[in-house]
Amino acid sequence: MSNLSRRAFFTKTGALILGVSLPILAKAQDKIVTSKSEDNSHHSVNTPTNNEYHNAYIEITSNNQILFHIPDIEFGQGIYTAAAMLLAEELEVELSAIKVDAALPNPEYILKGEVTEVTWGSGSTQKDWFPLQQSAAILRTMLLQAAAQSWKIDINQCHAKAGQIYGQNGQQAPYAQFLHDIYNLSIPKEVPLKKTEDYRLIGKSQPRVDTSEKIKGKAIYATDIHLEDPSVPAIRTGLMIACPVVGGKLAHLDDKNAKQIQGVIDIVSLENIVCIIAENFWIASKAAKQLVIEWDYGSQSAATTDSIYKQLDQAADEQQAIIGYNNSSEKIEVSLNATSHIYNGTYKQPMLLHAALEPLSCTIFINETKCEIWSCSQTPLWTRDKVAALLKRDTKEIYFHNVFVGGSFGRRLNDEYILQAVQFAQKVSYPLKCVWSREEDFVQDHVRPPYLDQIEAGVDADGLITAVKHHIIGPSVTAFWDKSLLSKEGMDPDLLLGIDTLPYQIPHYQLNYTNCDIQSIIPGWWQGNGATRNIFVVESTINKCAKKAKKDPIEYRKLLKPDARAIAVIDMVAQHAQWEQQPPKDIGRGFAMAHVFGSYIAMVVEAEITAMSVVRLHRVIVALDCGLAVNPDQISAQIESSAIYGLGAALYNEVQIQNGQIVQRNFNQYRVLHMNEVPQIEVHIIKSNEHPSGVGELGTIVSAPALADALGSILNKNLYSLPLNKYLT
Amino acid sequence: MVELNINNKIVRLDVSDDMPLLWVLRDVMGLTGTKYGCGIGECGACTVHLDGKPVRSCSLPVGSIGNQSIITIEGLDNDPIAQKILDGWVEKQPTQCGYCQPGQIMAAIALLHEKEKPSKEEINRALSGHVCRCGMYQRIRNAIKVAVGSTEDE
Repeated sequence: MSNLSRRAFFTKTGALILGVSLPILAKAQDKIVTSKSEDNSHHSVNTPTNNEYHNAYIEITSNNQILFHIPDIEFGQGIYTAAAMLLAEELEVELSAIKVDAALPNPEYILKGEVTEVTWGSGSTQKDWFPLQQSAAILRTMLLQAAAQSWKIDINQCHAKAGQIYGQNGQQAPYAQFLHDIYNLSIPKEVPLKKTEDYRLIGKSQPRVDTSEKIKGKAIYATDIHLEDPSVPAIRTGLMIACPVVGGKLAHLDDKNAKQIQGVIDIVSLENIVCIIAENFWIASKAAKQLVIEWDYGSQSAATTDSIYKQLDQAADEQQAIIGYNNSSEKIEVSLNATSHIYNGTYKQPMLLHAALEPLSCTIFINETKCEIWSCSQTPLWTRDKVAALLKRDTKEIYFHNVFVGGSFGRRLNDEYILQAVQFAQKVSYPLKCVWSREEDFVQDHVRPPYLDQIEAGVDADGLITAVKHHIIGPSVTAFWDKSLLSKEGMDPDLLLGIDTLPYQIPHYQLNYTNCDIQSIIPGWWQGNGATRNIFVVESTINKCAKKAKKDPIEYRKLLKPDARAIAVIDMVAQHAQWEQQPPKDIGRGFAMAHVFGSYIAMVVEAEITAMSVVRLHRVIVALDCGLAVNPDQISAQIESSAIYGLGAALYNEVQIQNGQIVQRNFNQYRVLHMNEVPQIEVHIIKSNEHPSGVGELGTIVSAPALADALGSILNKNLYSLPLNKYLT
Repeated sequence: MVELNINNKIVRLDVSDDMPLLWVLRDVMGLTGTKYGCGIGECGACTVHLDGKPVRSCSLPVGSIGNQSIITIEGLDNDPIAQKILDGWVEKQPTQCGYCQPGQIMAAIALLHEKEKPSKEEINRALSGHVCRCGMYQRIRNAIKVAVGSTEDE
């Protein structure tokens, strides 16, 4: 949100000022502080009952500790660190002085342009960039004002450093000393932010603030919760077994034998899911084997992978809606007819699992006064409100703790598992730790849906691409997720992602869409969203046209009038990949680029196909322009991460459906990249002072087309379909 | 009743012999640093040491352990090699979501107990059964290299 309005900004800043914990309100503050034990390896259930500070970003405690309650969730992308850097920079404290934890959901955190609090779309740093710095700068200025008044000197004779205010006559006091006073000051409307050249932290690689707890096994994930309050009953484990077919229901449950097992406490069920509650996971999984469950699989029990693809093929002949174009003066057919040659291609992209390492998980405790939940939701406010509606309780009684999570890749944008867990917790009188086995996590995944993309690409006499008709056939994830995000005409903006911001010029590009709902799957957001699908198609098309024109793919793109930032990443990646030199013998080299989430990325992949028809990934070189790089080392880590995620999926992954069920049940059936298989990765970041833009998903978005280009150059053909290992057999 | 030596303490637990060590650690002992990822020994998130050797605790019944020493991510205090590994981890920052990291770290420490300066291939062999969905493998390898005093990065 680079163009954050003043109004939105003040809403957020207002939250900040309200939230500065003051000793004068020690009663409320004490409760907040005691709710977070010093050693955060254990969570207490004594959550604050006073809501006054739940919209605080920043708390300065009476002992000068700075607490930062962050609305963005941390699923690995490093936002706890980047956001703390923004605060520390303007607050004039060291990064280590800020303790970061998850904020409770609050409407105050919704930024203008967002439908709710949401962590997605590689957007956290870019949306936090201005509000967090401005909040910290205002707070620092008010502390300086308070000190100046107290010392009866001018504010310009004071400065802030390392959590202390200094006066020019040798005065010194910690920030905490002025907390009483700042409430009497009016809030400055705007405080100028630091100049780039004055940054102490921003732009300089900082270690992650969550490293220590994560490498010592002390980081708390949803099933690591211990409740130490002696008045709370012992926590029990609820193992989930859900109907494996979408739309199916429980028909009959015989739990007689399962209940005989010592340590089994309850067996409860909802319409389409059973929860075996036991003293621990092991007993619950033993009992699961003794359960006799009959499902009524419903109407989707005959679905197969083939039937799903057939459905897409049939939909391809149905009516298309025009959803986007960049030339309104003539019809795409006219533009295509004016070209020298038209290349057709149909691209096929499979269903994919998220396969995060931590299976779905959620711990809940409900009593008369509150419902407390430890889990992960990328839309925590929605989740809180849905829980409140389900329990028919005030939202103030719902405490949703967004704890660390072992990856998401888009899965935690759906919170149906939390609502299931709440319904089970409602049926029992003790805290419930709901666990999904790996098998259940895979089978219950909201998969990246399958797509067909038909391309007609027209080139001029020089072989340059001038007109593209692009027809997408598949489900709309947005329509399933939140219809309010569709345009007035019912169009899904995600379908345009990446095409609406191409880094080069294609004079006439038209996107058509045929919706094809696939009832046997639940479509979910997956790393890179629509851009991952679109960029594979458009970049593969560009690489194909370059080959047809007998032009180098990099030179070809330069002929398509890329903008200056695009040229810079192209040149940078070419230089570091030694593009001018021929690749080593037997190595195929591929190129792809994108401009999405505000950033530019160019990737070169070097790969080999061995005599045994095995793909070896040798080297990946990336150039990235993400505006001002707030924490360069973690930006690099994000690209490494998303590239490995994307390369593994592009090479190996495809969800199979049989009898309406996802076939793959564990990592032995869903191949992910391991240490001995990954390429050497280099990430080169353009130096820039532009507004920070998205990073997290960029590597995934270009991986498939770059790898397809590399393998295609070895196999001497254009590769239209994923996963790519299908071409090797 | 099973008697186990966990992090240099003898504990007597009322659990069945066939219960995998992972669930004894997590659900009985409250040692939640060891993680569940797959339950079939495919991902390595549950790796602990048994007499110094890395084992998949999700697939190890406690009845088979006897008096062998179990060390978990919480029990590394007196191990100088563990400290070197953790220092390497801090320097190379291979942690993202963090869920696989205790398992990766336990495997790395066991490797260094066995081999003072492992080669890249030896590191790959020792850790290639560990899944990191954040794809931090190159950084993990570099962190191990730092721990053994190597300065060359990939």
